[in-house]
Amino acid sequence: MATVTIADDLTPLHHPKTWIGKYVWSLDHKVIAIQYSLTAIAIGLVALVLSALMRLQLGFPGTFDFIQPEQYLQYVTMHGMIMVVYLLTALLLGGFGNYLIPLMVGARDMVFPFVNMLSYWVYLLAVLVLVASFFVPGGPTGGGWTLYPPQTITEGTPGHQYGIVLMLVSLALFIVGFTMGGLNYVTTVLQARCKGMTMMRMPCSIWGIFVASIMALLAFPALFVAAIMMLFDRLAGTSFFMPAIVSMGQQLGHEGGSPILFQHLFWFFGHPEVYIVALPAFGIVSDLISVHARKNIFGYRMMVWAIVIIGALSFFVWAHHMYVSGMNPYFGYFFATSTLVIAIPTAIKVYNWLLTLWRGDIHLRVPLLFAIGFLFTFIHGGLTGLFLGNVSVDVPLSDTFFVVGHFHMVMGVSPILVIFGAIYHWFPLITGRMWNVTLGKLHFWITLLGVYSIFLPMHYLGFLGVPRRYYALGETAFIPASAHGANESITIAALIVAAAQTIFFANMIWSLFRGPRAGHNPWGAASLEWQTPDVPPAHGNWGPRLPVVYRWAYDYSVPGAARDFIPQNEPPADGERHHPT
Amino acid sequence: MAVAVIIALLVLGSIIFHLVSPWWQTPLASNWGSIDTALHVTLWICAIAFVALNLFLAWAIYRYRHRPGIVAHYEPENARLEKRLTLWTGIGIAGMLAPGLIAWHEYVTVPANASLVEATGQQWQWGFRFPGRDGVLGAANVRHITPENPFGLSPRDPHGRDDILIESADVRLPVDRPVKMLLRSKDVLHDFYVPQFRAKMDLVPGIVTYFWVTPTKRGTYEILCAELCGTGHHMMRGTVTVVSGAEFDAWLAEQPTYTELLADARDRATRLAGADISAVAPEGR
Amino acid sequence: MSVIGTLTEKPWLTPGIDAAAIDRPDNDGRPFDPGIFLGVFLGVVTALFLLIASAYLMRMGVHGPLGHGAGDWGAITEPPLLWANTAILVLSSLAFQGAGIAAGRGARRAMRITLIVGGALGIAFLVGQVVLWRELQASGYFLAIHSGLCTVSGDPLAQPADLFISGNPAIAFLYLIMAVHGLHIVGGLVAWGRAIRRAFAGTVPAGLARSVTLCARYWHFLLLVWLAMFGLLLMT
Repeated sequence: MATVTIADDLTPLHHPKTWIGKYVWSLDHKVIAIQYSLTAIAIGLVALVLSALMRLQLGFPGTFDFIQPEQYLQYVTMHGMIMVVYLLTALLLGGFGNYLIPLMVGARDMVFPFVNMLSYWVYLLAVLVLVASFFVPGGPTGGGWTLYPPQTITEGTPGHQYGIVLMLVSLALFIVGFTMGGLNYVTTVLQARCKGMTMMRMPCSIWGIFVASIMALLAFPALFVAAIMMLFDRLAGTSFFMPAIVSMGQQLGHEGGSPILFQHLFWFFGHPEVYIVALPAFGIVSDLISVHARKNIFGYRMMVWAIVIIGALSFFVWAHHMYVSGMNPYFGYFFATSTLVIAIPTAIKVYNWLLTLWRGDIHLRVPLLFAIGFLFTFIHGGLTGLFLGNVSVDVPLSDTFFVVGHFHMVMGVSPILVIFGAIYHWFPLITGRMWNVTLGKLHFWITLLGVYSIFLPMHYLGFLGVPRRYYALGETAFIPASAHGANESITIAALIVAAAQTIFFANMIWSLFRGPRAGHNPWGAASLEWQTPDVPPAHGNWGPRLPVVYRWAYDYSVPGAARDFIPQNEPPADGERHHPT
Repeated sequence: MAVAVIIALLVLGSIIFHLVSPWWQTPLASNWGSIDTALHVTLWICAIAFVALNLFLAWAIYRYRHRPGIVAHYEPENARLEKRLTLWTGIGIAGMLAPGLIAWHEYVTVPANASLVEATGQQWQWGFRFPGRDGVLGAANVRHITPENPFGLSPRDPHGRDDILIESADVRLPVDRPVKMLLRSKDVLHDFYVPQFRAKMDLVPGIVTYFWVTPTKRGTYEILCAELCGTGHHMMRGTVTVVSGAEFDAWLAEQPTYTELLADARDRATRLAGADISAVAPEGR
Repeated sequence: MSVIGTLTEKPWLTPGIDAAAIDRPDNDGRPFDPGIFLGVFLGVVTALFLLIASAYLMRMGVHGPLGHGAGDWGAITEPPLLWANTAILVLSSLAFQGAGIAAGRGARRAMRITLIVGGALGIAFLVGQVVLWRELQASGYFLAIHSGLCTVSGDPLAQPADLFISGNPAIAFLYLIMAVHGLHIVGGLVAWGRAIRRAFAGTVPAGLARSVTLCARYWHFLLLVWLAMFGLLLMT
């Protein structure tokens, strides 16, 4: 095969000399990962504040004059959009994907580091455009994170003039940036694995990130198309999504467009998006459980297959978000069935996590606590998903607080708990320091108990029929006074949980400077990222020679072995079976 | 250790919460018991899974917590166990999917004897239209909407002449008669939602959507909008009063028809603008 | 190994590494082949255009099943320039193919000439598309009727007022497809520019042949996309 030299290949590694070259315009995947993570967390904090404001209104309606319906809807919209796209997707793929892929597959960096750097800067630009929408006349869009036309671009919705335009531009930029990164993640996994690292020797984290990246590459174009078409409708007056309507007494010039077409495009992206967030979390949590229970992930092959099957099936379930949208009702049969079928591989994953703990040697360290928290919230959120997938059961529950409770449990709280667990787990590798355990546990308990007391009651408000996205419930006969009380206590719990996150940040900053030295591989993990010659890994990761991998990532508590783990790059001992060649 | 106990307590707490929670479905006031059945079946299956999985989790954490001298069991996979679990999951899934699909089949199959009612939505109010004596709703299009013709009825369609128009958000429905609700929006998405009926469906501008329901209990119920439709979303309310068939027929007879409203409008315009009635001629555009 | 074979491997049974693999050089010092990168990218672009195509079809028949005919979908007669542009793109693709073959044989002169011709034809295609765009505008096929008004009022964000006729969605889709496809051509031209720079460098850089081949592959792909989209327009 012909060889190529291109500007950003790996040889020789250009070691930057200046601070700016090292930390700002960096080509090092680890620095880019941290840039991605910090940006995502920063914008995520904005979304956290927005959720607190929104809860203040719901818990104590009429108390805060500055929250009018316009502001409330803007909080709801921006909270949702930021959390789903700009925090979770960016953090799990841009952050963890960037950091872990080269280290876990034994590469020196991403295959195309320059494109990788570009990906971050385009992402940052997308975030800045998003932030800019807070400062334009009319404010950011308040059309709900689903951005359903016609209302997002007609009068009566906050931000229909400028906010929505910036939102769509920002999303398009995000997708361009992500595509650059995603291409890198996929190519790196396919091409840059070190010697001996077969696909089935990769840790579950990489499988999750790999499949999620492929899904994102295929799903984001749907959002891209939808965003471009809506921009046409908004700016040029086309009628892709806009039917003839009378908005606020005025006939608009659109004709014949289909709002449901937008919904199909949106959810063709939107549902895979759920798994784009979930699959990396699934992968990472598998590794956390395995390392801290000192046991191989139970049924590794099943776990990998489940990730692949879930990834593939998730492109065939999107319309379960649209059972009552007015689409052809006969679609309901198909999408209900496909949705409930996808529950089977998901359930297998849950069983295998539990079976990994079963007969293990469980070290209840902070990362594992978060993994256990994930199991609890994910079981809860996964099961409530069956209600909403089961077509006719969705009819009374859709657009109520049941939905809010469900998706926060399953794709808000669960992945966030995994992210916390992962940060506690890999912090010693990233910084070379350990966390304060007591503060870590405190953070865990407040967060877990807090979120459960926020979201469990919401499901019951949903059973009752309390609709979501309501600025105020007002006087409604079927809503008893106690439900208003529930809203108050949910708000208080939400404020406590939000405030408790300062423990996390304080602990992080304290540990960064004062934490005890972690040393080499403090958890006794077998996977490759812990076997670097330097901690934290230096630019180029592996010192003079690339590692050679001799085994899978889960050789824990192997009978007859000297220690309870065998690193992936340790050659087999004489007694072990050798590769049959 | 503590985490095992707390996980078990969370399970227990969830069950207690379910039992004592004052928030549960509103009393059913329509034929959609099948939806409730599907919901309850789903709830039971899910509750069993929730309790079993989490108690197993708590037990495993407690039983296999780290103690000196303990070594984890080495077992890469157990295909038989995984197959069996898959099978049982499949059975559980099928068990909840079946009633769900059966109820959905009912939901999308409108009985032939259902009478028509049209609900129209706009930011942020409801309106209703009943077919007149001919039993047919006249053609309508947003392009025909003017202040005098808020429903956008086609001036050329004779079927529309006797349509009964309710310009308030309060509507009555007869008890125990199936009704096909046709839904039409003038501006953005809305959703017609009466919690006690269980049924709901979006109103989509540009097309007519529908669902059907048979109210079974007399009383007054609130109509809510369940699809975000702008700043007034939370105030887009209405009421539906379910009355006996005779009461309903009497009420309906009192309501104005399109022709009567047109005549009214003409009178008003004549009074206001002298003899120039062409200004309000219902030509639409 | 086949995908199934890979995925059914039991990795815990076989620690070690086979003898052939241990002798193979590792990734260090070996530059990566951008072919896979391009391949995955083409997959993404395929998804993008498939989605546009399905949106097109759905928008066409959107009201059919619900018996609420909007009838705003007007068939359009394809302007002759559309055929001419398609022909230019075909020629461009052929030239790139020639460049790829020449590069493979080490015929530098032929490669340079065909490469320049291919890129120039690509630019000609873009120019042709812009001309076509203007021609459409001139003959009254606006993107949407009020796009004209928006420009007049000077505020592109102003909501069009008091207008009851909208543009034909078929035309709007034609503009959309031309714009998105054109952007991809521009991206291809950037890669082409890099290949040109290196083709005219003093010494022959390693891997030039590969870049030219990949350029050609991208060009063929864009031609295929264009033909598919053009076919869609013709059929409907």
